[in-house]
Amino acid sequence: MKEWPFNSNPATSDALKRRVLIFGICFSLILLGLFIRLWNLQVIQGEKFRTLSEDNRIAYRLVQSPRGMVFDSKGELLADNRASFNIYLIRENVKKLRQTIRLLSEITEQPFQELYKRTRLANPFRPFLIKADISRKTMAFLEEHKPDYPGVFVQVTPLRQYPSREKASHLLGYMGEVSNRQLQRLKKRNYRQGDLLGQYGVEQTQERFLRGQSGFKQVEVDAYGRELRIVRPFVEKAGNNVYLTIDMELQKKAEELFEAHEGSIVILDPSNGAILAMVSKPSFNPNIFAGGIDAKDWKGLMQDPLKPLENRAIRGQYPPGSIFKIVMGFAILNEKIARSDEKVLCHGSFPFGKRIFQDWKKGGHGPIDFVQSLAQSCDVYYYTNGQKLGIKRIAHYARMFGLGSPTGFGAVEKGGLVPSDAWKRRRFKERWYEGETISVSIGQGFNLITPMQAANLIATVANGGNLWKPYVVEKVLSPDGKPLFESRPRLIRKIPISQKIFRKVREGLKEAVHGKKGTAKKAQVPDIFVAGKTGTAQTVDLKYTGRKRKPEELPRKFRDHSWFVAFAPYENPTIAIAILGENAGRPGSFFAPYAKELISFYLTKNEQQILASNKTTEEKRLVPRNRVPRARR
Amino acid sequence: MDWLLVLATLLLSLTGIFMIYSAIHSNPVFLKNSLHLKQALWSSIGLCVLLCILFFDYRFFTRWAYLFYALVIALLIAVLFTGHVVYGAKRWLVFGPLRLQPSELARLAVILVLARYFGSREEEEPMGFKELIPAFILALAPALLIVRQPDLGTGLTVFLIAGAMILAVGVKKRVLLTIGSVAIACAPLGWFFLKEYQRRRILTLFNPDADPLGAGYQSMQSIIAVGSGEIWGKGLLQGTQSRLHFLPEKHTDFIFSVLSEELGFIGSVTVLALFFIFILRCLSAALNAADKEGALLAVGITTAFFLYIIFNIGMTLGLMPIVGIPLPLVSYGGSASISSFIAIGLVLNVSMRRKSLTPMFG
Repeated sequence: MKEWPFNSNPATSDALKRRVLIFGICFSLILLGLFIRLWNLQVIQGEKFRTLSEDNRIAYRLVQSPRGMVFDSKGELLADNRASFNIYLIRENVKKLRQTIRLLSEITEQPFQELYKRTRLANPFRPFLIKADISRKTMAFLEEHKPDYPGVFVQVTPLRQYPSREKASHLLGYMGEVSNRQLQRLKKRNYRQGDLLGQYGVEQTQERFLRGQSGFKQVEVDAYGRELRIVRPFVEKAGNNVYLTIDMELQKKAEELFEAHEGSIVILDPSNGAILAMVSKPSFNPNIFAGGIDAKDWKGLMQDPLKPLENRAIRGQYPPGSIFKIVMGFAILNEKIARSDEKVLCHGSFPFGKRIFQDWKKGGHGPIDFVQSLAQSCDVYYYTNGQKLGIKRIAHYARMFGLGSPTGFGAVEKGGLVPSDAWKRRRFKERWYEGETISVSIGQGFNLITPMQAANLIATVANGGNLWKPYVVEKVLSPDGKPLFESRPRLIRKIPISQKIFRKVREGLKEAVHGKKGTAKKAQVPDIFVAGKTGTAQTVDLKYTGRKRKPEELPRKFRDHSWFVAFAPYENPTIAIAILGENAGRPGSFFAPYAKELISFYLTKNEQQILASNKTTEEKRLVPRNRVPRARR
Repeated sequence: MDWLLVLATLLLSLTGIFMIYSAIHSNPVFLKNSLHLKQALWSSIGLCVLLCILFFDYRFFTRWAYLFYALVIALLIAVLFTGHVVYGAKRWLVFGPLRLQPSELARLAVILVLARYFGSREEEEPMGFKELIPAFILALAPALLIVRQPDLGTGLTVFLIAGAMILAVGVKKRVLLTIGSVAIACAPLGWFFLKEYQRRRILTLFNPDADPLGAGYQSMQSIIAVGSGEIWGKGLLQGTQSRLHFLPEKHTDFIFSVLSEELGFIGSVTVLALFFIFILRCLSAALNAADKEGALLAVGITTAFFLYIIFNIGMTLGLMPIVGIPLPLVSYGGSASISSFIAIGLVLNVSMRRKSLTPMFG
């Protein structure tokens, strides 16, 4: 460091050195500029900025407008917001921390040590949430003792609530804090750490409509960051209101009927695919998610072997059992395997190769035609004709009716399984055996369907071949009533089968309920005709359980699933139902009375409504579109 | 060994660690992760890397410059396709637990490659257009790739560094005038290529009230923080601007605001003086270098440091638009710290081997 700050080497050229020196001078001058700016800001204007920083109390605070509400088709409120009182603490302002925390831990029933530790970790200058959603009594107590506990205050924030609690919980879904992964995606749409968003069901799918606008208000704060007054408010813009197609009264009725069971009920309007009710049991209470779910509650839900969070209606996949005979019926008649008046003689068993396939009825049904085969659910009829059809054609018809792929209702929906030769080669690297075709013919074997698919199947039979895409959102209205979204029924496909065949199948289903030997007589409703089909799906081969055992003697997972599908009225259907009792261990006919209850409940209600709307023409009662029975399309 | 340069480096890093602690102490999440200790770790690693670099002659690095350059270009292209998105920009490549920011490397690659390119130039007279074109392309390719990420600030610095190195080599007056006038003429055109938020940031420079919630607000709050420090500052950990969260990115981009607020004019000028010494010592390495290659290497690195310093401090003093450029050695950041130490290592290397044929440990 001889010639500080520059010492030079004779090896480098003089021209280069000169230019580097010019660089040095330029750099120094620019740094001098920064020095002058610092002098100006900190020394000359310093006092002004000191005052500004002390007065610098205009902070921007986030405001979240309330979330939109959810209604059923009749305008019954399913989800809204309520005020929740939250206790906050600003540590900096607390005089005696230990004492204050002790009191707070007592009134909020939290362990002292844990709360104390959490408080110590929090930012001392910012409000720290002690407990959300305290009772009015606690709040009153705190307000009364406010002067004794500086730094503690209560603030009101909106909290999601679902008045019908466990009912329709899988449809409505729940709220949760935005995850880091979601945040990456949603940052552009104004989401921030700690924001709540719909994580399940309608709350999730309709998030973009439901979410209220967020923005900043300018507030004056004191030296500790407490709000003193609002300088510029943020004009709140609440989220939009979502109207569902479901009929909450019907939903409640279905939930009550199914209280003691596991499984699912799906009710559709066969004229357009609108979901009138969707039950999945066991269910959960979405309210516990609203203010951030307890770790304990969450663990309970996750570890419950019955998986209450799973929406069985669209994600439960079960062998269809005898309700698959509906699909078989169409295939047999349309492929002209048998004429509808052709009879098959049923002895009660069907020998094939080394195996003997049994009919559910010992001794058999005797000579039986197409309509009676559905009405009495004769297995041998379908063994015989199923073998003639072959697996390829069976699979083709099953897919035609929407089995084997999701109905398109939701993203998380499962598709069930339509087995075929190609599928088995792919899955098991094994060829298809003809004996398996015989099992598939009565809905056993690899066949799997969801309750939603079953409901859509029976709705399609009811309406004469329109396979609708099920939907649950009827419309979305802005807070001032402007329509933002209106559903339009969407046809997945028109089933290319003649109405003559549809009439025959429907006749068979009607005979199942009203015929002398029908399997579903318990579904009879006075004054009208109902059509239905029972199904009992074995979960495990009889080899393992033996035919004789009672369901109670079997472990739950080996008990039969019970299906019942129905539509009514027979002549002009307005309701289509699928009921699934998961491991109910009962014959399908067990749930026939449930369908009867729901059908008569719905039809009576509907009738009264139509009468009422006809009577009061001036006063025009609003009857939602999907509620009015329509001519079949 | 240039001990003054080493001393300035160590003092600045130490200041950085203290100020990072002060900036994060009101943020429980950062505090729990002890970002200040992490920064200390990064600096120590950086120091080790620096020592390693001293063992090799800088000509060893320039010899591999083209290969390194090609590798960096490949990484920059890769980051455009597979990069990790942070704040809407793709800047990171993720290799398991390691996250690499290729634009940090690009700076070094351009400096090395240009030092090599011009270093092999024998003649003394200034350059004409013909000679400039390859250099121009070498600088432009990575700069454009970085701008695409989009990271306008870094892309621009890469380009400016190349410009400074070209100027140091010398260009004909005619060329200088032409390029200068074309640049001035094109400046308004560039405006249309900027993204909306980039324009807003430049506009707020002239009118801080235009965007009170975004860039203007941050700029204003930073000026208030600096100014309110007055002569002696509010004291360590006492800065109200930072603890009340009026300042954004306190521990990275706005660390100088926190420093100025808490340590006042005395503190901020001390840091400025340290940077002044730092820059002059780096330039002195250039003057001192054994050959043209070494001189240009030092000029490039000095310019890079200088640009980062004035962009960052200028931003906190409301003289520059808000761009996400950290303050070298002081701001929090692993990639940035280590690459700073690598650069300093190269400069020390050049100043150590001032005689043409210095033996390894001479």
